[in-house]
Amino acid sequence: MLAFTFSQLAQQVVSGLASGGIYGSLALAIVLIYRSTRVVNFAQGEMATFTTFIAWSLMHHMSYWPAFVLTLLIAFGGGVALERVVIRPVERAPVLSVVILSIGLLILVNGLSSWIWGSDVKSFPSAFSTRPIRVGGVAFSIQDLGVIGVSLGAVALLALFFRFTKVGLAMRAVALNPGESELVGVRVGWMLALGWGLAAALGALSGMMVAPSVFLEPNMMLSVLLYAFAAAVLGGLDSPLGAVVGGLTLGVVLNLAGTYVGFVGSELRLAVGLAVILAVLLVRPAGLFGRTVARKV
Amino acid sequence: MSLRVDEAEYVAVLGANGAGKTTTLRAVSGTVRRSGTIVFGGKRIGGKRPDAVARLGIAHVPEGRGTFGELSVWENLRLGAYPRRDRAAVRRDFDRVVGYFPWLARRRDQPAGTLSGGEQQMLALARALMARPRLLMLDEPSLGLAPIVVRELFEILGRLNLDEGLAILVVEQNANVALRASKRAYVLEVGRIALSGESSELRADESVRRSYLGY
Repeated sequence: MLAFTFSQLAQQVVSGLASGGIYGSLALAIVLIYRSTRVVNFAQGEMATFTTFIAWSLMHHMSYWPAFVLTLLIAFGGGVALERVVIRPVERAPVLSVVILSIGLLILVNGLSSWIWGSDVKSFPSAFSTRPIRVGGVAFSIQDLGVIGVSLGAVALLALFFRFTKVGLAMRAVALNPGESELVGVRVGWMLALGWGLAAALGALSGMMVAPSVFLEPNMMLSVLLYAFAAAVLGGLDSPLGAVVGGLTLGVVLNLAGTYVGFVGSELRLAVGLAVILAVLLVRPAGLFGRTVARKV
Repeated sequence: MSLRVDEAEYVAVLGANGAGKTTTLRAVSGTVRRSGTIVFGGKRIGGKRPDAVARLGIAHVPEGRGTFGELSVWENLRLGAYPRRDRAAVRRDFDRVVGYFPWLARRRDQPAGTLSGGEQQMLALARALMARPRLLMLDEPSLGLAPIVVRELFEILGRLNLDEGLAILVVEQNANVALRASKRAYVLEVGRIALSGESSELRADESVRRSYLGY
């Protein structure tokens, strides 16, 4: 009896980590943009959906992994272009204007997805087999393990990029102090555009990872975006590490609550996500890893 | 106002608070709106953005240290060399600045924000040197530093100017220190040049000292 509960717990934790990895990558995308511009990009989820549709179209012409990589590249280029064309003109506008612009972008990209691909639900292939593998008497889904691997792999690559490359270092410098970065010769505008590109690619990754289980349609990422916000707020909007840890934590908590807390089930999952945002804002507004910043008003 | 710094020259800009010393430097580096003509190495740079000016070889160490406090000492130095592509030479320059400031190597992984004020000023200077600038501009480098640290700082500036032929434009309120170190000086008074000349002569002139430099 106890062995059964343990194996169920282990399965739920692993599948929670899989959804958590997806929330975490989208949360990381939000944090990357927020850190350097103080703007919360509400269109992040719709951008992810749009690029997942692109992947879906590409997969009619090529096999999974080439389409996957090509989609990431397209998303990156699209993110850079979006920043240069749409965001740059309002670079010096108040943060609120840019946030409202991002909400406009959300509606626009959502409409664009429906217009191009229609609003009917499409099935999206998974890179990983859905059959389970047994590890010490516990059955894990290969799909879950694959999603965890891809998300954490992407995060690890990004961490190495920020730590060891010149451009990564310059992007961190711009996030900390744009004025000072200019004085050492960094092209601040391009670093912001690169940030949008990386965020868009991370979003595409999360979209492609979540699509096999929720099915592809224009509103696919709306709830994922909410969980990603919860994850980012939980970790601290300022902290990339926090976004990832927040995502994984949230994924596991939601899954366990859905399984073991009778009344949560699957209907109240979104409400739990909102409750997390609210609780963090009330108790610890800076999040688990964020810095408390005193701002003069 | 008209101001020039020759190649490998050491020039000081003096004056009271609000005389426009900082603004003068910022006009050169492009961090303030400017009019008139600014020429560097025969090229007009008056319309260039700060990052472009920096890449041309003008290093600006702003007032108040200007290091990235959350980045490590080493990362600050790497950022200084950001515009450069000559990797081997950059590596030699790491050794060169460590030669000037040996403690940098010992504390390379420490966040710059945890250094003392004097150390942060030295780090800001070291970071500027990593860019291999042709002109080094410093804004009030002595501000808030102990006299012994100020002496060390200006001693290093003197060596950079003499041994490496680095042109230096230093803005200072501490006229005594700046006039001893520099070859030529300008004295600013609310946005215009009140006086200029050889530093040694300005320093020797009793009336100049009393009316403009207040010591």
